[in-house]
Amino acid sequence: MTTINPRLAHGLSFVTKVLISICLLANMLGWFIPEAAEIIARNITNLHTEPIKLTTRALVLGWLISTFQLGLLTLGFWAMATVFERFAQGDNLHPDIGKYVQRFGKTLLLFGMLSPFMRTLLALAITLDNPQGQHFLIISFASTDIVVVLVGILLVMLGYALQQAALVAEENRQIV
Amino acid sequence: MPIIVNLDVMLAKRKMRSKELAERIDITEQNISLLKSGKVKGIRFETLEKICQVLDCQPGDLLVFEPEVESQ
Repeated sequence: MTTINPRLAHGLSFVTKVLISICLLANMLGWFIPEAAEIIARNITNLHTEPIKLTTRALVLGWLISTFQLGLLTLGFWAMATVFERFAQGDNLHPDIGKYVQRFGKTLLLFGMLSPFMRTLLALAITLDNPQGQHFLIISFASTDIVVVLVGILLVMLGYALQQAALVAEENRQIV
Repeated sequence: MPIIVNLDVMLAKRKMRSKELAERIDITEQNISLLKSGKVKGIRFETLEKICQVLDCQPGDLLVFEPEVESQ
Protein backbone atom coordinates (compact mmCIF):
# COMPACT_ATOMS: atom_id res chain seq x y z
CA MET A 1 0.00 0.00 0.00
CA THR A 2 1.40 3.41 -0.93
CA THR A 3 1.59 5.89 1.90
CA ILE A 4 1.41 9.65 1.85
CA ASN A 5 4.77 11.37 2.20
CA PRO A 6 5.02 12.13 5.97
CA ARG A 7 7.00 15.33 5.33
CA LEU A 8 4.36 16.61 2.93
CA ALA A 9 1.58 15.74 5.40
CA HIS A 10 3.47 17.43 8.27
CA GLY A 11 4.03 20.46 6.07
CA LEU A 12 0.37 20.66 5.09
CA SER A 13 -0.69 20.42 8.73
CA PHE A 14 1.70 23.25 9.63
CA VAL A 15 0.58 25.42 6.69
CA THR A 16 -3.08 24.89 7.62
CA LYS A 17 -2.44 25.99 11.20
CA VAL A 18 -0.47 29.03 10.04
CA LEU A 19 -3.29 29.96 7.66
CA ILE A 20 -5.85 29.67 10.47
CA SER A 21 -3.76 31.99 12.65
CA ILE A 22 -3.26 34.50 9.82
CA CYS A 23 -7.01 34.54 9.06
CA LEU A 24 -7.91 35.12 12.71
CA LEU A 25 -5.28 37.85 13.07
CA ALA A 26 -6.26 39.52 9.79
CA ASN A 27 -9.91 39.44 10.82
CA MET A 28 -9.10 41.14 14.11
CA LEU A 29 -6.82 43.75 12.55
CA GLY A 30 -9.25 44.34 9.69
CA TRP A 31 -12.11 45.24 12.00
CA PHE A 32 -10.04 47.52 14.17
CA ILE A 33 -8.60 49.59 11.33
CA PRO A 34 -11.61 51.70 10.26
CA GLU A 35 -10.56 52.03 6.57
CA ALA A 36 -10.00 48.30 6.29
CA ALA A 37 -13.19 47.59 8.21
CA GLU A 38 -15.22 49.59 5.72
CA ILE A 39 -13.76 47.65 2.78
CA ILE A 40 -14.41 44.33 4.54
CA ALA A 41 -17.94 45.27 5.60
CA ARG A 42 -18.93 46.55 2.15
CA ASN A 43 -17.47 43.53 0.38
CA ILE A 44 -19.14 40.98 2.64
CA THR A 45 -22.54 42.64 2.58
CA ASN A 46 -22.38 43.91 -1.02
CA LEU A 47 -23.43 47.37 0.24
CA HIS A 48 -20.99 49.12 -2.10
CA THR A 49 -22.59 52.55 -2.42
CA GLU A 50 -25.10 52.65 0.44
CA PRO A 51 -24.31 54.82 3.48
CA ILE A 52 -22.83 52.92 6.43
CA LYS A 53 -21.73 54.28 9.77
CA LEU A 54 -18.90 52.36 11.38
CA THR A 55 -19.15 53.42 15.00
CA THR A 56 -17.28 51.52 17.70
CA ARG A 57 -20.44 49.55 18.42
CA ALA A 58 -20.83 48.64 14.72
CA LEU A 59 -17.17 47.65 14.48
CA VAL A 60 -17.32 45.44 17.55
CA LEU A 61 -20.55 43.82 16.35
CA GLY A 62 -19.09 43.31 12.89
CA TRP A 63 -15.95 41.81 14.36
CA LEU A 64 -18.00 39.46 16.57
CA ILE A 65 -20.16 38.31 13.67
CA SER A 66 -17.25 37.67 11.34
CA THR A 67 -15.25 36.05 14.16
CA PHE A 68 -18.13 33.66 14.82
CA GLN A 69 -18.18 32.67 11.18
CA LEU A 70 -14.41 32.44 11.00
CA GLY A 71 -14.45 30.44 14.23
CA LEU A 72 -16.54 27.80 12.48
CA LEU A 73 -14.01 27.62 9.68
CA THR A 74 -11.19 27.50 12.22
CA LEU A 75 -12.74 24.39 13.81
CA GLY A 76 -13.02 22.82 10.37
CA PHE A 77 -9.50 23.66 9.31
CA TRP A 78 -8.13 22.48 12.64
CA ALA A 79 -9.82 19.14 11.97
CA MET A 80 -8.21 19.14 8.52
CA ALA A 81 -4.79 19.79 10.09
CA THR A 82 -5.38 16.81 12.39
CA VAL A 83 -6.17 14.65 9.33
CA PHE A 84 -2.82 15.67 7.83
CA GLU A 85 -1.09 14.78 11.11
CA ARG A 86 -2.64 11.31 11.07
CA PHE A 87 -1.44 10.85 7.50
CA ALA A 88 2.02 11.96 8.62
CA GLN A 89 1.98 9.14 11.19
CA GLY A 90 1.57 6.75 8.27
CA ASP A 91 -1.77 5.32 9.37
CA ASN A 92 -3.94 6.09 6.34
CA LEU A 93 -6.90 4.18 7.73
CA HIS A 94 -6.82 5.50 11.29
CA PRO A 95 -10.40 5.53 12.69
CA ASP A 96 -9.97 9.23 13.58
CA ILE A 97 -9.45 10.29 9.95
CA GLY A 98 -13.08 9.66 9.00
CA LYS A 99 -14.23 11.44 12.15
CA TYR A 100 -12.16 14.55 11.41
CA VAL A 101 -13.10 14.62 7.72
CA GLN A 102 -16.74 14.49 8.85
CA ARG A 103 -16.09 17.31 11.30
CA PHE A 104 -14.54 19.42 8.55
CA GLY A 105 -17.54 18.68 6.33
CA LYS A 106 -19.99 19.61 9.07
CA THR A 107 -18.28 22.96 9.69
CA LEU A 108 -18.31 23.72 5.94
CA LEU A 109 -21.98 22.76 5.81
CA LEU A 110 -22.79 25.02 8.74
CA PHE A 111 -20.62 27.81 7.34
CA GLY A 112 -22.38 27.70 3.98
CA MET A 113 -25.83 27.52 5.54
CA LEU A 114 -25.16 30.39 7.94
CA SER A 115 -23.46 32.68 5.43
CA PRO A 116 -26.66 34.37 4.16
CA PHE A 117 -27.80 35.01 7.77
CA MET A 118 -24.38 36.32 8.70
CA ARG A 119 -24.50 38.80 5.82
CA THR A 120 -27.96 39.90 7.00
CA LEU A 121 -26.71 40.36 10.56
CA LEU A 122 -23.59 42.15 9.40
CA ALA A 123 -25.60 44.55 7.24
CA LEU A 124 -27.82 45.29 10.23
CA ALA A 125 -24.81 45.82 12.46
CA ILE A 126 -22.98 48.24 10.15
CA THR A 127 -26.10 50.28 9.45
CA LEU A 128 -27.33 50.18 13.05
CA ASP A 129 -26.17 53.71 13.77
CA ASN A 130 -27.41 55.14 10.45
CA PRO A 131 -30.19 57.73 10.69
CA GLN A 132 -33.71 56.32 10.96
CA GLY A 133 -34.95 54.87 7.69
CA GLN A 134 -31.45 54.03 6.49
CA HIS A 135 -31.01 50.68 8.20
CA PHE A 136 -30.47 47.87 5.75
CA LEU A 137 -31.92 44.41 5.91
CA ILE A 138 -30.32 42.38 3.15
CA ILE A 139 -31.17 38.87 2.11
CA SER A 140 -28.67 37.38 -0.29
CA PHE A 141 -27.72 33.94 -1.52
CA ALA A 142 -24.42 33.46 -3.28
CA SER A 143 -23.56 30.55 -5.54
CA THR A 144 -20.46 29.97 -3.39
CA ASP A 145 -22.75 29.30 -0.37
CA ILE A 146 -24.40 26.47 -2.30
CA VAL A 147 -21.04 25.10 -3.44
CA VAL A 148 -19.72 25.19 0.14
CA VAL A 149 -22.84 23.41 1.42
CA LEU A 150 -22.54 20.73 -1.28
CA VAL A 151 -18.82 20.21 -0.58
CA GLY A 152 -19.67 20.00 3.14
CA ILE A 153 -22.30 17.31 2.50
CA LEU A 154 -19.85 15.40 0.29
CA LEU A 155 -17.16 15.53 2.99
CA VAL A 156 -19.59 14.34 5.68
CA MET A 157 -20.44 11.36 3.45
CA LEU A 158 -16.78 10.69 2.61
CA GLY A 159 -15.95 10.87 6.32
CA TYR A 160 -18.62 8.27 7.01
CA ALA A 161 -17.23 6.04 4.24
CA LEU A 162 -13.71 6.43 5.69
CA GLN A 163 -14.97 5.45 9.15
CA GLN A 164 -16.51 2.31 7.67
CA ALA A 165 -13.28 1.60 5.76
CA ALA A 166 -11.30 1.97 9.00
CA LEU A 167 -13.62 -0.56 10.68
CA VAL A 168 -13.12 -3.03 7.80
CA ALA A 169 -9.35 -2.47 7.95
CA GLU A 170 -9.39 -3.10 11.70
CA GLU A 171 -11.37 -6.32 11.16
CA ASN A 172 -8.95 -7.41 8.44
CA ARG A 173 -6.06 -6.92 10.85
CA GLN A 174 -7.64 -9.60 13.01
CA ILE A 175 -7.67 -12.11 10.17
CA VAL A 176 -4.42 -14.01 9.66
CA MET B 1 -15.90 -19.28 20.71
CA PRO B 2 -17.13 -22.72 19.59
CA ILE B 3 -14.40 -23.01 16.93
CA ILE B 4 -11.30 -24.47 18.56
CA VAL B 5 -7.92 -24.08 16.87
CA ASN B 6 -5.80 -27.17 17.35
CA LEU B 7 -2.69 -25.76 15.78
CA ASP B 8 -0.59 -26.32 18.90
CA VAL B 9 -1.63 -30.00 18.92
CA MET B 10 -0.65 -30.41 15.26
CA LEU B 11 2.64 -28.61 15.84
CA ALA B 12 3.41 -30.98 18.73
CA LYS B 13 2.51 -34.01 16.59
CA ARG B 14 4.84 -32.85 13.82
CA LYS B 15 7.46 -31.79 16.37
CA MET B 16 7.65 -28.38 14.81
CA ARG B 17 8.13 -25.05 16.56
CA SER B 18 5.93 -22.03 15.91
CA LYS B 19 8.95 -20.10 14.67
CA GLU B 20 9.70 -22.65 11.97
CA LEU B 21 6.07 -22.74 10.83
CA ALA B 22 5.96 -18.97 10.72
CA GLU B 23 9.08 -18.88 8.55
CA ARG B 24 7.82 -21.62 6.21
CA ILE B 25 4.40 -20.09 5.62
CA ASP B 26 5.72 -16.54 5.65
CA ILE B 27 3.64 -14.97 8.42
CA THR B 28 4.80 -13.47 11.69
CA GLU B 29 5.33 -15.56 14.79
CA GLN B 30 2.99 -13.19 16.56
CA ASN B 31 0.17 -14.14 14.18
CA ILE B 32 0.89 -17.84 14.74
CA SER B 33 0.67 -17.20 18.46
CA LEU B 34 -2.67 -15.35 18.03
CA LEU B 35 -3.95 -18.20 15.86
CA LYS B 36 -2.91 -20.80 18.44
CA SER B 37 -4.69 -18.94 21.20
CA GLY B 38 -7.81 -18.46 19.05
CA LYS B 39 -7.60 -14.69 19.43
CA VAL B 40 -8.28 -14.02 15.77
CA LYS B 41 -11.52 -13.27 13.98
CA GLY B 42 -10.70 -15.42 10.98
CA ILE B 43 -8.14 -17.27 8.95
CA ARG B 44 -7.57 -16.83 5.24
CA PHE B 45 -7.91 -19.87 3.00
CA GLU B 46 -4.43 -19.02 1.76
CA THR B 47 -2.96 -19.26 5.28
CA LEU B 48 -4.93 -22.43 6.01
CA GLU B 49 -3.69 -24.00 2.79
CA LYS B 50 -0.07 -23.21 3.62
CA ILE B 51 -0.38 -24.58 7.17
CA CYS B 52 -2.01 -27.76 5.88
CA GLN B 53 0.74 -28.14 3.31
CA VAL B 54 3.57 -27.67 5.82
CA LEU B 55 2.01 -29.76 8.58
CA ASP B 56 0.67 -32.34 6.12
CA CYS B 57 -2.82 -32.28 7.58
CA GLN B 58 -6.42 -31.44 6.74
CA PRO B 59 -8.27 -28.22 7.77
CA GLY B 60 -10.42 -30.42 10.02
CA ASP B 61 -7.32 -31.43 11.97
CA LEU B 62 -6.70 -27.78 12.78
CA LEU B 63 -10.21 -26.46 13.33
CA VAL B 64 -12.84 -28.17 15.44
CA PHE B 65 -16.37 -27.07 16.19
CA GLU B 66 -17.42 -27.57 19.80
CA PRO B 67 -20.92 -26.35 20.66
CA GLU B 68 -21.08 -24.15 23.71
CA VAL B 69 -22.71 -25.85 26.68
CA GLU B 70 -25.31 -23.65 28.40
CA SER B 71 -24.65 -23.40 32.12
CA GLN B 72 -27.69 -24.12 34.28
